[in-house]
Amino acid sequence: MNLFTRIFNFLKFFFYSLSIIIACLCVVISLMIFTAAKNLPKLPHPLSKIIETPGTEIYAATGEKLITLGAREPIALNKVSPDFINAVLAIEDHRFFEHHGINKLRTIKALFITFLNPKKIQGASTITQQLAKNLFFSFKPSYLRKFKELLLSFQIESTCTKQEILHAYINQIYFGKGAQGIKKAARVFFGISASDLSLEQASLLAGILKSPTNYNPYKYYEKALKRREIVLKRMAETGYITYEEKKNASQTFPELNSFYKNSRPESYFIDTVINFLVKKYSEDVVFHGGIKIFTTLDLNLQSSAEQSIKTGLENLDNILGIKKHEKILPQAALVTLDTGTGAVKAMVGGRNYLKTEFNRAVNSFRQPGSGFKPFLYYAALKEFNLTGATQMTDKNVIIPIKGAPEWNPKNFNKKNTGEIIIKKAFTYSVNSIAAQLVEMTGPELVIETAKSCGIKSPLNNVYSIALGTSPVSPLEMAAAFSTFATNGIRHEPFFIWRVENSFGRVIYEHLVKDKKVLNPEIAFQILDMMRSVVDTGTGKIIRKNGFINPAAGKTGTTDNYNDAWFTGFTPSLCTSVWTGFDKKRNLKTLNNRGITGGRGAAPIWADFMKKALVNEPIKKFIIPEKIKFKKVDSKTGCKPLNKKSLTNEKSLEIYKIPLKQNQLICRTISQEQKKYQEQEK
Amino acid sequence: MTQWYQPLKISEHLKRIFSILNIGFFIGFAVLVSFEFKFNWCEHMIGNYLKTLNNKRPEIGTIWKTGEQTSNAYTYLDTIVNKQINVSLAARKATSFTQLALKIVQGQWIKFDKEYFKKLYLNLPNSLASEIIQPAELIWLFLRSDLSRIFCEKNTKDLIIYFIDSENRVIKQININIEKLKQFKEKKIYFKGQLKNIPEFQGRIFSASDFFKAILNLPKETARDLIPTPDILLQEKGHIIKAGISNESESGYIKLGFEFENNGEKKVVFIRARQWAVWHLSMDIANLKE
Repeated sequence: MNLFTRIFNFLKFFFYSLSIIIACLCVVISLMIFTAAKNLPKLPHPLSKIIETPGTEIYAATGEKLITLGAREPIALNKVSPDFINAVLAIEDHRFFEHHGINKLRTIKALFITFLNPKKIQGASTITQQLAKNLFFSFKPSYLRKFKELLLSFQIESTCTKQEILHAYINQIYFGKGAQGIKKAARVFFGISASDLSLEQASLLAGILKSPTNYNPYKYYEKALKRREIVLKRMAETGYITYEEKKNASQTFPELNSFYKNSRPESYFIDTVINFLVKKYSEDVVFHGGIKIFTTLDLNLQSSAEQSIKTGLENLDNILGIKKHEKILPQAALVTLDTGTGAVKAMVGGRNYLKTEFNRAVNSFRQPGSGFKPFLYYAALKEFNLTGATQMTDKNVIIPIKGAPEWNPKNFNKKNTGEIIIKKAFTYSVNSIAAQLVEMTGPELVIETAKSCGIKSPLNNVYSIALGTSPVSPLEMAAAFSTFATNGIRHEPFFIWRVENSFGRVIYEHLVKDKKVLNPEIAFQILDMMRSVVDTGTGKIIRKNGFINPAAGKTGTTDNYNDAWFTGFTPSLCTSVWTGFDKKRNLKTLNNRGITGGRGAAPIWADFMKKALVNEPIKKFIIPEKIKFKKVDSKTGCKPLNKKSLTNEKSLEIYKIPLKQNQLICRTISQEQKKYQEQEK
Repeated sequence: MTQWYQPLKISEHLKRIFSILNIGFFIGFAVLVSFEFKFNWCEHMIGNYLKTLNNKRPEIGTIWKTGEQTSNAYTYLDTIVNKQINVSLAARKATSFTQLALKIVQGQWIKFDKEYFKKLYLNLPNSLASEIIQPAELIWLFLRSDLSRIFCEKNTKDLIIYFIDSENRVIKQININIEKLKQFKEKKIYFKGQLKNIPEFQGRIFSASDFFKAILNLPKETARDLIPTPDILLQEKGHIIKAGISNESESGYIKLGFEFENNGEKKVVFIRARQWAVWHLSMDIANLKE
């Protein structure tokens, strides 16, 4: 057999084999189409109809619309800037008007590159394919998904006009920042309508489509500009613009809408509202139900809260010697309630919502330290008929505990001062007195009081509960302290006044219910001690910082300075502020000095309350009818011997004590205990 | 080994390659491929085929899911609203709190207007009505300018009526015990047996004649408040043999028990008397104790 015959035979074999392979491929592909066709998603017509989703609107108590969730109203093609449409066509699919769902040459090229280098997968999706993917499929890549996407794009092309496809595409593409569709994107990124987009702006938006996260201009402006350059170049190459126009556009840097630049101050609040409603109804109702939610948020207070947290954290960073590029930063949370209703009027859940969405005002449970003492003192005053004037001894206290090491709490300054009245001990947060009181009452009574005031977190039945060793959230603290502000009337904290369906019918409404949980006179006696904390005690920085309204509160600092709290109230607002690190790190300066609640949280509280109440008339706390005041010496609890000091309001050794009917001054704790035991008998 | 049918010359090879059949086959194939690139017939064909199946295919995928979610949300919201409307309509037909309690499901609430509440309130027996809310307090409440709405809610035990001001604050809350309402409806204000079998009357049981003599010695207005619902007693068959005073007071009232005998059967009928009037009576009959 000669050579030529051999070659001929080989070619013949090759030709027949290829023919058989092609024929088999055709059969296989046909079978695949027939099989896949049955399970392909149904194509809606017109496409734009199902893109419409009613928006859920969330409003502030002050009337402003805070956010619209999930709303999508298609915008007509002729109301979109031609520059944007041209930019999208140039960068995504410049042969859009020529193909029938697939750009074959580009696909062959992409397949070839992918075949040569599987790690470098080339995309060749046309606008129609992208639309099919976005409308029907998940973003998980698979060959089967690609195949189905391709089939659907053929059907879309056979069913819809090119105009309809483009219209559906620009209305459903995602630009990031919650902007779906060009209408919302133009509003979010530039604060203008889609028809007003200039070439520079339109090309920037078209560039984002490749990766809304990586080309987010708010975060990576330079990167987004580089991508825009590619878009403009493609536009010039494909003839949508001249090179001169490209050059001019490249030199213009569009200004972004500042409203969306930073995290929105109310984001934490909105998250809480959404979570509440999702639990109550469902995600479908909240995101697709077109409901209207009227919240309790006061935008002015919210803005003040955000500013105060920002300033407070900057100060804290300076005190702690935090460097600019340090990654672990101290955090803070603030929540403020209307004492008369329980309505949450402002909430900040952290330093920056964009960096961490974890809401520390609601979901972070931290030890409140001495911030828990009001519940202890209330329980003790009620159980043993004590007063602020009752004399105790600040001494080293050792409490034996069955099956555990004995408890030996120390004072903050590690010193004991001897005789002291209860009010002074509270004012200066003397731990040894708290320990003696909890030994008398037992932890159960403290827990009972805290629970009746609104603390919902589990509380450990241990003596150290008196010093706040059970973690609670700032929202719980604010709600519970608010009960003292109203002389014992508790209100459940809430975020939503009313929810309406899309036709305006009320489907949920919050009713403000007053629940009397504390004895008003004793609650006022505690309030009076908390006033003293602000005026002269551990929270006196509040007065130093210029807050002059009647106010009461309590500082809280945990062991090793992990947490610094201040929770306090005026007659109308109750605010809790927490500062600390998310992870176990102490609030200590470079000199190893710890940051207390009075130093870390109270200044934020004072700054916020000053702003919050700036235009409000000054209100005084309501004194229950049966309360009478008497001045006593801070050591003896008796009438001061020095008559001059009686007239000296500012004397630190004289305390004005509110007393209930039949309560006496000049009583020691042991006398009260004895009386209690006799009564018990 | 060369086969017998194989060509031996190049010219023979070429003749076979460029045969009419081969050329025809090649042209046909080339036309198909070029037409595909020019007119996309393959895509058109598949697209049109899929179009014919469209209505039979499932509504699945992201966008259908979104549509379904919207539809679910509307259905759910409609259910809430319809329930509210149905309950409100049904409640409007109720002529008593007992009927109302049967028409509201636990956790549901309805709105009242003042007139409707008045109607239900006035249908209550006097003693129960004043136990729920004092008439004077109700009048004062209705005259308040800040009363905006009245809500009614049901929990496991009670019908709860909220009187609400324009700021959604509950200015008055009334709890109506459903069991008590039922007892009144079923006239379960009786006890089959004798007064001495009821612990709360122990030590405070008197003969009927002593008891009524003491009442008749009291001023008229005191006597009126001792038996504010005489109809309950007058409707009973038989005669009263004993009367007792309960040792428990509730909302300014004290229960009185009257032991009736009828055809050898004994039962106790209860009424609620004003606490202050009972005190007067107690002082007078302290010495008459059995």
